[in-house]
This record gives sequence, structure tokens and C-alpha cells, in this order.
Amino acid sequence: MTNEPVDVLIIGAGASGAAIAWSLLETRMRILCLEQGEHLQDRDFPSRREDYELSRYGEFSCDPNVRKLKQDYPVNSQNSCITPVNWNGVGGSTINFLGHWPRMKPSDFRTRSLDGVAEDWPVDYATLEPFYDLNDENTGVSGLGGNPGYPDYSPPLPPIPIGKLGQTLAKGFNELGWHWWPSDVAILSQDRDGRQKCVNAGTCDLGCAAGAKGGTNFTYWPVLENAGVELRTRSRVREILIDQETGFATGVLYHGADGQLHEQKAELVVVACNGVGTPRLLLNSKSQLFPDGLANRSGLVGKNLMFHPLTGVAGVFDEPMLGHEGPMACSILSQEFYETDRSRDFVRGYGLHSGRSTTPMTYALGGYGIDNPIPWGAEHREIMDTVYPYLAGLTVVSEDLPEEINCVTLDPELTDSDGIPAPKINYRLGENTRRMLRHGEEKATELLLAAGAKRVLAKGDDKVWWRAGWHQMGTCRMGDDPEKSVVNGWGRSHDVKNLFIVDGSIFVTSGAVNPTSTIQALALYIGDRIKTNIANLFD
Amino acid sequence: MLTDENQVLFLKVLDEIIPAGGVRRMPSAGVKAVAESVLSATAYSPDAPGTVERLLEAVSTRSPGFSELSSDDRVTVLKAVEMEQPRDFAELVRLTYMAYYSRPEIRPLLGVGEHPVHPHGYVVEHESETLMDELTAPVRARGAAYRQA
Repeated sequence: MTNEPVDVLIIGAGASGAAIAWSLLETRMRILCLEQGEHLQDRDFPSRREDYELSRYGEFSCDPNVRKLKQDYPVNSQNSCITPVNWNGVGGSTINFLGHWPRMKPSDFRTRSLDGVAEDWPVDYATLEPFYDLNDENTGVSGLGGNPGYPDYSPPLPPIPIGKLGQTLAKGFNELGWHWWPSDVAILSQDRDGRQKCVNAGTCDLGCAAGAKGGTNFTYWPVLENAGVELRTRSRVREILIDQETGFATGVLYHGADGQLHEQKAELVVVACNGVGTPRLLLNSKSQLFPDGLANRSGLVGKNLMFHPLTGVAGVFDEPMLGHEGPMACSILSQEFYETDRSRDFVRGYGLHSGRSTTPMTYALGGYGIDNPIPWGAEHREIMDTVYPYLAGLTVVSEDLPEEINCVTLDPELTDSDGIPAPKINYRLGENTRRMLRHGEEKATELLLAAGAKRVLAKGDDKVWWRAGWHQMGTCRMGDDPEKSVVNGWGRSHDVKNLFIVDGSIFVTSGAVNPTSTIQALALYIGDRIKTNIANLFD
Repeated sequence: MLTDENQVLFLKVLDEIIPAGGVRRMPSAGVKAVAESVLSATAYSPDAPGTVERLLEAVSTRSPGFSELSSDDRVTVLKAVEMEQPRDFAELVRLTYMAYYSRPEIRPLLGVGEHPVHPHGYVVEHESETLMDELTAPVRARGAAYRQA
């Protein structure tokens, strides 16, 4: 390992770090990526092991506070109704994400203009569209073209099976005249580029050993490493360094695999640590020039944290729904209630996602992301025998509006294994979200009954899934006004001209869709702008 | 390490947490393999053996002849113990579910493959283009479903 200066230093080897590295390959700049976790091989994934389900509650939990691996940082979520979940390693959270791949919609980028809430983005759907297409091609996205919910586009691969569960629900949607469509997924429906098509094992959250799921460990990183991008694992960045005279980033301090603290110099620093990790790093990078944290003259680093609060409704049908056969999260998606309708008591909207059902153990323990086991005793027997096999469910995925009260700060006491302060989450549901979720529960119930469910199991309370913090957005948002945003319209810090942020933290609003396709499209767009502006990049 | 007496008692407790029977004629959780899995589940619950021992002591104290009771009476005792020691009891329930549903012979009884792991998985037929056309026709017929912006 050398610490020779590099042209581009990317912090984080997940969805966005990999995408921007790929975009910058053609510049022939020397690119180094520092990643705090390991580079797991496919044989290491639990999806090849017979005891795979148990790992969901241990070393392969989505919750870093459960995993407690060396590369994980703890998260203080005591003041939050949702806890962030992630994976730290090459691929980032694309290792254990579920591969659902909807795009944001044109209106998502214009919420201020259209609906009078939040802020408009400095980019729009049309600008990002070619980068969505490019990323879909690089990732190997499966889906059905012609979705009336979007301007016309076609995923490169045919859809994965929607299965008996999806077909049953689709008929219910048609009965009610509501929108639905087979989900776009970052999961292969055909063999491609040495990756095996999906085998419908339902183990997407445990690392896809077949390579069917489009984690960047299988998509971008093999290309990047072949092209000479240096990937330095077990390297946790502690602080971004700043020249106090020029105000430019000079590189980073990081804890290496050898346990030592190193300095790595770079001409350009790209932060790709997600909506919690990125503000954490910036807030921990204090200096005389930036006493409140790096790139934080707006005071907005860490503010406006958005998740996608979720709730679920399940129907019990006459026949087994076979929901355990196929990718966990992806069958069909309805966006009937996605756009603002002034007749409702909330603005913006939500999606109804048909999650497939899960395995017996996970169901008995309360479901994926939920710690609320079903009853023991005779009632347990009854539920597992006569409910579990017959379930088809819908997840209500709501748009979260940005509020400064929802934020990431540094915990004054809790630290990771290198002594770096842990993030502390302050988050609560807004009233608009609560109303949206109630509406979603009602509509999901209506749909399930229309699809033939004999009874419907709804929680009927205001609680959302605890481990729903996959989508971490908004904490370093982009914008044209330096007073109201952290980075400009192409990801460059307003305050530090050679510092870029490319992950979900730069989202201005959350939409009501899984964000990874948009995160990567944005990263490719930012890479493109860097290349276009290369001659006067730091002006 | 449980005493011989407590090993018997533990199996009886597990028998009630997941009882046998039902329409699928499932076995109960009261078998040696489940008991051993719970006691060795320290990766998922560092104090698993302690949790079990505390609960068994509570059961013995409340009902010295627990093993000889009817199932209904055992459940009554366990509900009382659950009220007294809710955290320990909840942890035992969690670990029992994990141990029981890990057993490959249990899953097929619920219609789930024994070992659906890679590279085998499940065979799921792709819908034909005709079927997808039929299913999506009403959606397409309604036209654009997004706002221009």
C-alpha cells in the first residue's frame, strides 16, 4: 500500500461511488476508492448456506447495531421511529438491498412548483433520463416497457416472473381500475455478462451469490478493477483535510487495514457514504475554516433527513400464494396514489409495492425489518398453518417531506471501533406522512379484498417499520442557492470547490420510490458534468 | 449446561411454545435438536443459556410438577411466567422460532422448499407475453398516469 497522491479519491465503494468511478474512467485520471468494509466473494454470502435465515439475525443483519462487525459504525437511533440499515463493504448497501428499481417521476423534481412543498431540484427528469438508461444497461435491469406511469422507456431485459401472487394482485388492481405495473428490478431475468439469472431463491437480502442482483460488486467493480481503479478495503476515512489558505480539500486521514492512521492526498475528493455516513464524515471534519463541519456554511449538513416510512397490509387468500418463490421485494408496483390529489388530506403520495412473502422463520419473527414475533402456543400453530402460506401483502411506501428537525448529528459519546463519533438520528414522522400512511392502509385493504382475500391483516396503528431506514436522503441537499443547499446542481460543494458529494444525501426530496436507480443516475450525471467542466472544474 | 431434570422440563416448555398438531400435523418444538439450538444461540443472544435457566427456575418454582400437568395447565403457568419475566420470555420465544424453523424437515410442511439456496432456488415460470398483454391492457388503456413537469 502506498499513499502516493491521486487525482480522484472516492470515499465509499457502494452504489454511487462505483457509478461515478465508472463515469470518470475515460478521463484516465488516477482513481482511488477507500472502503471501510471488506470485499466479500460470492462464496461468502449466506445465500449459499443452509442456515441462511439465521444470518439475517446475526452477521448478515441489515442493521449495523445488530451485526456489530468491525467495519460497521454504530448508530444512535433512540430519538427515531426508524433506524438506518445498510451494508459496509464493497458494493455498499447494494449487497443486501432488495433490487427494486423504480425511477423517480418527473413531478418528484418539482414539488415546490407543482405542490408548494419542499424545494425543486436543480435538475429534472429529462436531464437525468439518459443516465437512468445508461445505468439500467450497466446494471442489467429487468422490466416491462410501456409503463404509463412514466415517460416512455424500456428496461434492457424482459421482466422477472410476477408469480401467482403478482397475478392475483394485478387482477385486483384491474378490478378497481387502478394503476399497476410489473416492477423494474436490478435483477437479471436472463444470464448476462457472466452473471447467472435469478433463481428465485428469495434470499436477496443475504448477498446474491448468483450475481443476478445488480450489486455494484457484480456490475461496476469488476470493470473498474480491470481498468486499474485502486480499491483499498478496510480503510475508514476519519476526516477530510482542508488547506486553510486556499479552502480546497487536500485529501483525507484514514484508518488503514494495518490499524494505522494514514494521510492520502488527492486533487479531487468525492464523498459517497450515503445519507447518514456522508454528513457524519463532514461534521467530523472540522477546522478553523469550517468550525461547524466541512462544507457546512449553510448549516444544512445533516439536516432534512428523509426515509421512506413503510407500513404493510396482508391479505389471506384461499390458495397458497407461493410468495416465497422469487425476489423478496419485487413483483408489481402500483402508483395509483403517487401524485398529489387536492381532494385528499395530504400532499404528494405513495406507492403500493407487492412484497412477496417471506420464509417461515422470518414471518414467525414478525416479518422482514420488524421485531414483533407472532404469538406462541396454539395461536402460533393456527397462524403458521392457516395464514402464512396463503398470504399476499402490500407495502405502503410513502414520500417523506424534508424537515430540518429530522437530522443526523454526531453522538457526543458513542464511537466506532476507531474512535470516530457515531451518527445520532433525530427523526419523527410528519403529520402529512401519517395521513398518507393511513390512506395507504385503507387503499391496500380495499385492493386485497378486490383481489379475493378472505380477510385482511392490517396493523391499524401509527407505527412504521423500525428497520425501514434503507433509503437515507436529503442530508446534504443540492440546489442553486448556497444559503439553502450544500452542493450545487452537479454535486460540487458550494464551499469547497474540489469536493463532490454523489450519494442519496444530495436528494432534495425523496419521491416515494426506492432511490438507488436515481442515486446512480445522479452519480453518472455528476461524472458527466465533471468531464464537461474539466478545464475549469474548480472555478 | 442443564441438569437432566431441567432438560426434560425445557422440552416440555418448548412443547407449549410451538405445539404439535394442527391441520398440517406439525411436530412440536419440544425436541432435543431445538433445545440444543436455543442453548447454543449465543451469536444471536449472548445470554441464551442464562435466559433459559432463569425461566426454567421460574417455572419450577411456580409449578414443581409442571411436566405432569395437562397442556392447558402448562400454558397457564407459562403465561404467568411471561407476565413476571417478559424480556426473558420474549427472548426464549424468539430463539425457539429461530431454532425450530431452521430445521430443514419443517419447512416443506409449510409448503416451502427444504433448502432453496443458491444455485438451485425455485423454478418459477415466466408469464407469457400474451398473459402480460392481457393483464396490462386495462392499465395501458387508461393512458399516461404521471404529471408532466
